[in-house]
Amino acid sequence: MTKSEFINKIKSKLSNFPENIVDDRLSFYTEMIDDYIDEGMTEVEACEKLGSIDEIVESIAGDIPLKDIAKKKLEKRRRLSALEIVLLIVGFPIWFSLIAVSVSVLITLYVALWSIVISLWSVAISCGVSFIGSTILFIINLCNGNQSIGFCYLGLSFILLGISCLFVLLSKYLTVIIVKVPKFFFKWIKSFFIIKEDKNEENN
Amino acid sequence: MDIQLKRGILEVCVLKAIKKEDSYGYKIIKDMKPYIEMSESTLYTILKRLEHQKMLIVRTEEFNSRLRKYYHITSKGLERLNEFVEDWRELMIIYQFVTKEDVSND
Repeated sequence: MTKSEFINKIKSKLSNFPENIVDDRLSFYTEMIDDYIDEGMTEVEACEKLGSIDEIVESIAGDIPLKDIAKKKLEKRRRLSALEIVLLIVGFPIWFSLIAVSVSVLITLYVALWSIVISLWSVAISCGVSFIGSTILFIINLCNGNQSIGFCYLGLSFILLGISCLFVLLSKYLTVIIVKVPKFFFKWIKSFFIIKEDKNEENN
Repeated sequence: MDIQLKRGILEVCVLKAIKKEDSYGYKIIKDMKPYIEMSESTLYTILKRLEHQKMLIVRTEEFNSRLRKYYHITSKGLERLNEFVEDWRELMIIYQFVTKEDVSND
């Protein structure tokens, strides 16, 4: 693949993204390719050195904020006809409610996920506190001569400690996953703006 | 290596690469290669971030009938480099303490 083919392919895949940001990035890659060629590489080798097109596209898309992509989309829109404006106004209660419900559902789901994690952390902390309580009760009963009851508390404290450790591990694991959810969500949204190979070739 | 730590180290390495004289993308990667590997995409992101933080400034110059961007370190960038050296001087003392303990255990 030649330099121009390489750059054009990336550009066409990112045609839904803000042009100034994409162009700045592509001019950086062009400069790198030229420098690699100056060092004795062929155009093909220089392009391969930068990585695959999909990797570069994903990297560029990942760095562009979603609001800039939305702004670019709105700029590209043609002027609406009178009929479309009327339909938009008449249909406002429907489309606005649908959007509001969709956003609410997504927020609710995310809050629900956090609620699960918070509940798990609560169980872990409760078991931890109960472990301390049981250990104290074990010592008190042992001092008072109630050895059988004391050892029951000791056994209970070990069980609580085990449960607490398990829940801490589980909660920690789930917290890490949930923190990453918005990042993956935005990446997924951005993937809809990247023009796929087949569609692009059809257009050409 | 921790991602945040690596990101910070890469930023400092880029600043070091342009400290002595103004440099450009390819040369920065080439100068850093013996010490730390970095992809072109990562370099672009770091350069943009450093430019945004006013640690470097960019100028465009003609070279071989094409345009090339040169990066120049600012006083803020030099400050960041000095801070890094000071921080790591302290960390190296801790590192020596930790590794010395390992040796005595063997």
